[in-house]
Order: sequence, then C-alpha cells, then structure tokens
Amino acid sequence: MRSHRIQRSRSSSPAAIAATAVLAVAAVLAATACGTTRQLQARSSALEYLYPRGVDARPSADVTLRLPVRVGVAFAPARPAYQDRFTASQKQALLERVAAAFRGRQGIGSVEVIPPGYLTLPPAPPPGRGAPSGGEAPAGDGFVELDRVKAAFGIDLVALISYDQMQFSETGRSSWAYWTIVGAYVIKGEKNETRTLMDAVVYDVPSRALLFHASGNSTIAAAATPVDVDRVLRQHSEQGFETATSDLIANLGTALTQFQQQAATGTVRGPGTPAVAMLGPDGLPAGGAGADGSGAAGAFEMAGAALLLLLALCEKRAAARRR
Amino acid sequence: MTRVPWVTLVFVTVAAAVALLPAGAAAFEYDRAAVAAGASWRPFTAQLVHWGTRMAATDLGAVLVLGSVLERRSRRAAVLAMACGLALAAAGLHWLPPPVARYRGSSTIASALYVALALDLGSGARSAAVRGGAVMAAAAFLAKTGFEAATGRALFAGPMPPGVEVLPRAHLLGGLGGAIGWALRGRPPL
Repeated sequence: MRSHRIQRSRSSSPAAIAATAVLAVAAVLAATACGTTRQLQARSSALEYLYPRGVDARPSADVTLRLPVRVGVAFAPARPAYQDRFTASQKQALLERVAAAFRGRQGIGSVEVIPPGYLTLPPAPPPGRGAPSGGEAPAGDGFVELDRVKAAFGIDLVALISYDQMQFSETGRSSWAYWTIVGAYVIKGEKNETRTLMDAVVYDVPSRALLFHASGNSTIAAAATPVDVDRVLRQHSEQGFETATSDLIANLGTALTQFQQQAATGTVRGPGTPAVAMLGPDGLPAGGAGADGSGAAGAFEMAGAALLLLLALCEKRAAARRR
Repeated sequence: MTRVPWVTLVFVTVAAAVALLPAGAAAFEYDRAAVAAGASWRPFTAQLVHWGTRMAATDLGAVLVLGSVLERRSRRAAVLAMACGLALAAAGLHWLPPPVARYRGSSTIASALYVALALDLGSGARSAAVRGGAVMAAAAFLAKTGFEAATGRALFAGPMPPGVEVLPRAHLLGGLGGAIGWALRGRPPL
C-alpha cells in the first residue's frame, strides 16, 4: 500500500489557495489511482483441521496397507469467510477431477469423493484453555471425524486438499498517468494478480500417518478496466483453481510413484518415520523389504557367455578341420 | 551353422524397443496388484523390461551372445529353452515365496540359454576339451545359483536401484527351464 502526504501551504493568498486546491485534487486523484489496493483471500488448511491449536497431536503408528487401497478425496474445511469465491459446486468438480486422475492407478482400488460439507472444522478452544490433560482423548482434532468418514465411505486413505487463493488488485503507475492526463475512460487497465496454492496431504486414517503430499500452484496476472474488476477477479479465481488443480494432479502422480518406491524399502518416508507393510489381495505381503525384484545378469553371466562362445568357436573350428 | 538367429534377434530388439518407450517398463513389468486385477501377461512380459540402462545392456547382451550361439547350433533347442525358462520363471515369480511386488529383468532368459548351451556343448562336442569346458561352465552356474538360493544373496549382480533386490530363484528357475527345454529338443544338435 502506497502512502501519500500532502504538505500544507503556509500561504493564504487566493493564488496560493487555488494552487493548494489544485494540489489537493491532484493528490486525491493520485491516491485513488496509485494506491487502490484490494485483497481477497480464500483459504482452508488441513493442518488447522487435523492438528488444531490447543489439542495434543497424537503420534502416528506403523502403517499396514491392504492393496488395492480405497482412497477418499476431500477439501479440508474452511472457516466461513464472506470473501470466499470458491463455491461448493466448484469444489465438487475439482474433487471429481482429482479422483478421476487416480482411479485405476497401480495399487488403488477406488477413489471416493467426500462432498464438501461432510468435514467441519472443530470448534476453537475457549480463550485461555490449553491442551486437554494427559490421557484425555483429544476429541477436537479432525482425525476423529475422519474415522467416521472412513467408516461411512469405506476408505483406507484420505487425501485432504487445502487451498489458499489471494487476489490482489492494484492500480498501477501507468494507469495513474492516464488518469491524470486523459481521464478515467481511457484507462488501459489495472494490474490484477490471482495467486492460488493447493496442497494435498495423503493420510492413512487408522494410523494417523502422513504418507505423502504434493502441491500445485497458479499465478494469473492480467489487465482489466475498473468496471470489470469484479467479473475478471471472479473469472481469475475459477481459472486459478483449475490451473492449480492440474498442477496438483501432476505433482500428486509423481509423489505417489515416489511413495510406492519408498514404501518398498519398508518405511513411509525414510528412517525414523513409521514402518509400512503392504499386503496384496491374497493377504500376502506385497511390499516391505525386497518388494521389488530383479533378475540381473552380471559379471558371472558375461564371463560364462564368453567362455561358452569360445567353446562353441573351438568346436566349430575343430569340426571344420575334420572336414 | 550359418543360420541367422532370428528368434534371439527379435527378442532383443523387442526388449530394446520397449526400453525406449516412455512408459514401456511400467506397462510390462510384473506387478502383483495388477496381476491380481487381471493383467495375467505381466509375469511373462516382465522378462522384457529392466530397471535401468546398465541392467538392460548386461541382460540383453548376455541373451544376444548365448542365444545367437545356441540358435545357430539348434533353433529348436534355443526356442524351447527360452520358452521353458520363461514359463518356469513366471510361475515361480507369482507363486513361490517370498512374494515380490514388482519384477523386471531378462536374466532368466539368459540363464535358460546359458544352461541349454552348456548342455548342448557338453553333450555334443567332439572335442574333450570343449566338453570339459562346457561341463565346468554348467557346474559353475549350478554352484552360483545354489549359493544364491541358499543364502538369498546375489553374486556378481552389480548395483541395483534403491529398493530393488536380485531374486536368486529367477536364475535358478531360468536355468532349470533351459535344461528342460534342451532335453525336450527332440533331436541331437547339429
């Protein structure tokens, strides 16, 4: 936000008063043109949902995945905000896109969309109250609700998607020049920027273990006349969520592949993280140490092949000599 | 003796072509979950794909040398050795413990051809030195795979990608398939 100072004139002559008036008008116009700043923000946070302030975070346990796994996809609930342009129908459509991108993937049996509204933020703790005392169940975290959703939808894993979109509208310096010289109707445009960040965390619900995460983002900057700002911002908001979702899907695919490779070594995210065991449909281990196998020829096979080739050539030469 | 080893050349060419496809390895590898979901071809096509370029070069190089020599001596023996090695390895991969989630590699075929060629030379060569050398080669293979099966450790396999382990039973079953295929060839080597 830019600030502007108007210095008071010490003269009180008519000319000075007129000059002051002109300066004041110019300053007001400059302030209107240069410093018009508006921010719109829409956000939801999986962190706030799963680990709300004032509630003890429970440590995650070891993970047992029975393949193919059933996954639920949901948006982390958002605190109500009048600025939030992200509608429930938009959310539903984007969740369907994410779900469709992962149906049929290796190791994934089904992907269910958890409709927006099924998850709600736990009530904030009263001011001055800390975490519950030791041994008391932390009923306020989102996992309690996820347990119910798991039972209702029959899912093993949940992918919680958070979003944060900031729309920043600012009249730029070039438009100020147009404003002061030509007038409001010939303003070429304003600088409008919409930044969207989407983040997905995939949890194993029973163990509360974070398996992997990925994010997607989008930045849209375009010009618009002042009368069009609201419409353009709304369009950019939609476009921002669409583009960030595409980016998120691509990065989730990569993260899923990396998780599958990591899980084959027996831990979720490396040493010090929960152990992971993957069972096939037959109940036999499908993961863990040695999950990926290889038949690899090495120095022995190459040396043996060379020896047998040499023997075959000797045999051929001996046969030729005999003829 | 001057015949072109077409079968071997086709196998190596197809495997090399699959390696060049962007998603070729993932589409053809053995994947236990995918097989359970109906992709029953994967235990067989897994022998065409590899975890990396170095592994592909070593495996396919061995197949090319051994297959070319054996096929020029007896195409029937080569084809039967490859088929039996492939079938045994595919069955062992899916049914024998310990289970694996994914598998790639052509060394099963190389093992089958190795054993079949060693038997062919050991039984058919007129030179005693060649016969002795072939028997030694076969014995060395048996000792190596026996050690690997007993200890679960692969010998001379070279570095593998993280999380990937060499399966000794793949070589053992490939070699056994090669021996069976050679025995089934039905006529003496040329």
